[in-house]
Amino acid sequence: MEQQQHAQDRRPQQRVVYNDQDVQTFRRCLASYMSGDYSTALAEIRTLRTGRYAEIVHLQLNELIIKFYHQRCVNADEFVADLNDAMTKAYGMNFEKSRVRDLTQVTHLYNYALIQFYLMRYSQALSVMKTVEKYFDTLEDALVRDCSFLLIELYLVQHKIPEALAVITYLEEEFDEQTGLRIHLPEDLRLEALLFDENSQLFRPLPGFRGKLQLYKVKVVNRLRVLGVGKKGLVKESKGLLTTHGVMNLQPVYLKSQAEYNISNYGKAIKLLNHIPPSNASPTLAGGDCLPVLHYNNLACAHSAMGKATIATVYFNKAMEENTKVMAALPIPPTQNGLADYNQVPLQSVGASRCPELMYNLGTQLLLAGQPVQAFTLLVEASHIYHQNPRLWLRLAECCIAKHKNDVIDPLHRRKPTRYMIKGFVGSGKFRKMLLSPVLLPYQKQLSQRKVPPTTELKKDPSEPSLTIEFARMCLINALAAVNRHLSRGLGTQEKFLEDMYSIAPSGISTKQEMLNLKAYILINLAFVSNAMWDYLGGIDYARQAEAFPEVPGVIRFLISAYASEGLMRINRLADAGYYLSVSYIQNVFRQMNADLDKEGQVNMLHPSQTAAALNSAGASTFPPGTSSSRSSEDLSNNGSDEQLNLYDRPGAVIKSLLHVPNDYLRRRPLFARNLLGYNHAVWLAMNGDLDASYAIGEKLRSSETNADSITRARATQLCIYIRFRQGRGVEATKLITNECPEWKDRLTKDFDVDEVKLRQLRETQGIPWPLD
Amino acid sequence: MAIGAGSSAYDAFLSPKETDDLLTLVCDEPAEGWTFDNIAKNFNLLFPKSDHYRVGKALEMFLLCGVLDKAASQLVSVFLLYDMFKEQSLAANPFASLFYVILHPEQRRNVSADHVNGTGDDIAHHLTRIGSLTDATEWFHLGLAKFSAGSRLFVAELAAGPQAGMFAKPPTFFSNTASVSSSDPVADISQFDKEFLERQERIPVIDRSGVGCIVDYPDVTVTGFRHDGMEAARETANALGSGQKPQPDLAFIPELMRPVPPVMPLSEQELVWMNPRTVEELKLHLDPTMLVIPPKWLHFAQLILKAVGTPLHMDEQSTLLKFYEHDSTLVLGGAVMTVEDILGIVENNPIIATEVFKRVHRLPENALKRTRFKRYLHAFLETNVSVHTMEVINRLHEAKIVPNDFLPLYVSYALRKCDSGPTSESATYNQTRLIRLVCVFLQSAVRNKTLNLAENPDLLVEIQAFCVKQTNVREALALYRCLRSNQNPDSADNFESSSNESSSPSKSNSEKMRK
Repeated sequence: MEQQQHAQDRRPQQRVVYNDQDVQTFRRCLASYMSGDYSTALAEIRTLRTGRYAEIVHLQLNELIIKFYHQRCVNADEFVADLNDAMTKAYGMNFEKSRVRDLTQVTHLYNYALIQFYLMRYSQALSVMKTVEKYFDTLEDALVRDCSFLLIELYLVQHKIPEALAVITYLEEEFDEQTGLRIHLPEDLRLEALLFDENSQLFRPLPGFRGKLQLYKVKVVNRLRVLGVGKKGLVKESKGLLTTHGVMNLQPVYLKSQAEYNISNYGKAIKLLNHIPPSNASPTLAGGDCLPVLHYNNLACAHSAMGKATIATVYFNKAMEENTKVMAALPIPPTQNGLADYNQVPLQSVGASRCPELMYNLGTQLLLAGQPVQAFTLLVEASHIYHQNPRLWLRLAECCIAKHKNDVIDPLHRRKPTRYMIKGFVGSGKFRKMLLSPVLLPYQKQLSQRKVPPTTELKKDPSEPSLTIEFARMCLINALAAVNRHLSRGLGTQEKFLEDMYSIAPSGISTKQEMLNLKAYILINLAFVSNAMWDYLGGIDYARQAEAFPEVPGVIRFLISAYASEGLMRINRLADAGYYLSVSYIQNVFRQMNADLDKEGQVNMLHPSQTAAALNSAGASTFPPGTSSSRSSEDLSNNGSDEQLNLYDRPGAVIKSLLHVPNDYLRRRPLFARNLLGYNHAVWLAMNGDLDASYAIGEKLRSSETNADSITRARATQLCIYIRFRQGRGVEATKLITNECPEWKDRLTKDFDVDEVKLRQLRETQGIPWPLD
Repeated sequence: MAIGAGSSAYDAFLSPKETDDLLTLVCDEPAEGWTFDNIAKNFNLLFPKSDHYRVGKALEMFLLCGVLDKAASQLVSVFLLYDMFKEQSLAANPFASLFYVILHPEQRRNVSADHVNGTGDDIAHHLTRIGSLTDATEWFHLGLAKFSAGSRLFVAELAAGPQAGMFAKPPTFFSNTASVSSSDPVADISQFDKEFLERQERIPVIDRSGVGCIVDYPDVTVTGFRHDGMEAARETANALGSGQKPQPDLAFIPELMRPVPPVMPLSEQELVWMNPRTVEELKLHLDPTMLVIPPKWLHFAQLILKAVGTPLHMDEQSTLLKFYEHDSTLVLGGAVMTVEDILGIVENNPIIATEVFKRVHRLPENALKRTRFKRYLHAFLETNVSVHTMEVINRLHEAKIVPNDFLPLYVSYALRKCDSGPTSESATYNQTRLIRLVCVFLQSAVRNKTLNLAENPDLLVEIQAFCVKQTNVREALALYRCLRSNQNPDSADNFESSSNESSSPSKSNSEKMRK
């Protein structure tokens, strides 16, 4: 078999000597083809084939191509099959992998790659183009030019920015800017061809070559920004883009707008986009793109970056609508095996749907706007395509976690969490008993003491996408695997690493630090989910892995402390837990969180002076909880309530925009973190038997001087009550309860559960959002 | 020591009938036959084994809340808790902590610290003032406070292993302090203590540190006080066991706060910006066979493609060279080639290759020519060192079209190739052949002065080191001598003696081998 194939491969090519007249006919045919006059071209080639060249496979190939264009590029499947047959006839089986024999074969390889590109088979196209690239030295100009452009597009699609840049450099070095012809070479070929025909199509100059190259350059540089080209590089490259191409030209306007977007000039980016309103242009471009989709998507990106989450969501939704409209207009009837039948669609429009990217964008935006349920469906869809993207998996898990939080904590209880501390009363007289709620928040109780109804939840396959903690865990494990894969691939050189990170569709990851940050977030989420599923060993392990990172944000350190100490206490390793709850650890977390805010402030804030002032006040106070030293109380009293206000009042759209991001307050309020860890420290002390010290901290947190939030304060009260009970001071404890929960008087005889039901109904009907977020 | 803390099940509830049955069993005192044995028998008739833990939980709750007001009822409850799980040791009993607390009254939390600190005084004072109470402390000493010394002795017996006939007595025998004197010897409970504490060690501190969720909240008003009596106790017990909010098993523990992780902030390029694709101008290319290779070069192109894979015949070679003679612009004649192909020509047809290189070099000076020529030359530094490659380089160098800095680079590369060492026997032969080749090449280069070693002292040192290393190759010796004579004609002979000395061990080795 192999021998047969080998023999087929080595079969001597049919060489025919063409007479001059036929060559001239072919030239005319080529010229008509290039100018888009396909009927003439078809007529010419048919004339040639009716003569003595009927069996010549090269002419048959040409006829196929011209006919395909003549029929407006539909019936792509048929065309590809015919083309493959003819190619096999000419070059044997596996022609795309066999050794290249001559220019004709290279030309066909390019054609093959272009078709694959339109059919979105990018890796196949790229592997063929990489073979073609080796022959660039000896190919003619027009082909090298087109091959290079296709290569750039392919590299861009695959997020291989450095390679794309290398192709651009090659074009710049070897081609003449003005004519688009190669500088002097290949001499022999061109001179010879031009002798025959001054208007040879093979060596035709490309008038707009310079502009086109510039477009590609900006396109690549826009993506390259994060690699260190920076503002200057972008401005330099995109300068003159509009003067060269005119303001009504689509490509340059979009690229320039992206450049402005990249340098945080969002206003200008939007203005540029609005230069070409989508209604003015034809809905579908020649390249297969749908303009309104691009327009609304980009507007949404700019608005999202400006912190206008609602507008961004509206635009993303609009883009989705437009995309659906365009796709509905294309006749793609699904066939029996579920694959779309592309035959009725022009080849260029096959890959026109931007649905996966849009779903990714809209999903992420919705999650950040605090709508995890809606985001989840979209992100699940997107994950079918971008399953290599660790960030997407993390976002999915975040949806589940946000939903979980919504379920667990009733926002109505946040205002006064101690209100429901007393569950009710039973008995009378001497035997009257007060029933305490074992945990602070009624809905949290349901979770921590969840009784799984065996009929409903267990039947469901946990790997089926659903907004549960179990599914979040699976997503996070996927995310971790993907990150590790990318990180291990990039163990070599820095370039290799960057190249690999860029290839994470759809938006890539720009720096190693970002990747490590992502991993830290994944690990910390895993730790949370593990703890929530009572897998404390797992929780400790993940938290410790996250801790090993050299540069993690303060908020991660804070969470590491919370999760690792919880896990360690749960598995009865109090001494180890003490490390994560030590005074110095908590102080470090607090300092680092303040420093992070400071850094972020310098990047994003409009008025750095105000930020600095706010941070000075924050940084001055450190809280060593539970120490017997007098410093703690002094420090605590130094904390004015201004600090928290300052953190929220900082100017700048970014801060405002992020206020609705689920749980983002954790990042922005070091004081909250410090108080929370202080509380956990107190619990640790209590478990260690140091009840007095624990009580002291609880008392401090309860009082207004620490400016703790309502939840922490309620927890601290609970702790104080607990300690009093432990100390056997039941009357004091009871007094504390009744003081904190004066509602008992009215409700002594009422059924508290009825009240809870009412509250829940109210929350559900009104859809009350998070008051704190 | 905490009691009743830890597990988190909701399955400890009793139905109203169960509560009633249980309370009747525990509290009512039939006139005769009220022995522990009978009670256990009745209990087992009422509750199947599978319900025992549930019922036990409720009993524990009743005990701790003090709704079992009589000493005898308390003792019966404790006995039942023992009896339910009597097949295992008492330390393994699910309610072992209760037994422990009974046996160690100092562990009990209800040591009234309130009274010690005086904080409870105002309530006690209030109660005394309204004339309802003579001893206010009693009001707050519910639960196990009434557990008599006799009962404690009974429990100690249970812990140490019950004596025969003990259960045939009525509970009142032990609960009445009068019938058991406090001076009776207390059974040895150290084994139970040890076992129990060992078991406790295995439970995390946080899980055994809870306090009960049911808090005494006596109605201290006059009406509330008048409500006192057995009825009230029974009513409370019913409510706790099967009422609206039964919670026999919940513990009040300060939970650690577990913050929900924040959503990772949006990174700069996370949302996808969409640009229109720029490929709309790209079209499929037509097959250019009719135009590409001018007919007069057809034969040439075929020959040069053939030259990539196989050595050409003499006549084919001369045909090719004739083509080159006739046409000064001809380089590859329209054939498409990669750098590897060019190296293929070098390997198979060095003369043709030299001609190709000369043509490329003769092209007008520009960026592309420079890069291309450089690329071709540098390909030599990545391929094998062979006679043909060296021949081509030598020819090119003689024609002075190789840059001056290239030859030293190539020599260095060739030396490294020689040093890389053979891996098998056949490889050893090839290696020696390669070393000889390189030596001859270098010798001729030095003699013809194509390689100027005076300008490259580093290379000279490298070559000399190479020669010393390869003393068993004759050509290496010759090369060394040649180098020395070039440097200093007198000292050329010195090497022989020194190399003989230095190579003596290897020589003796080889002689040994021959023997």
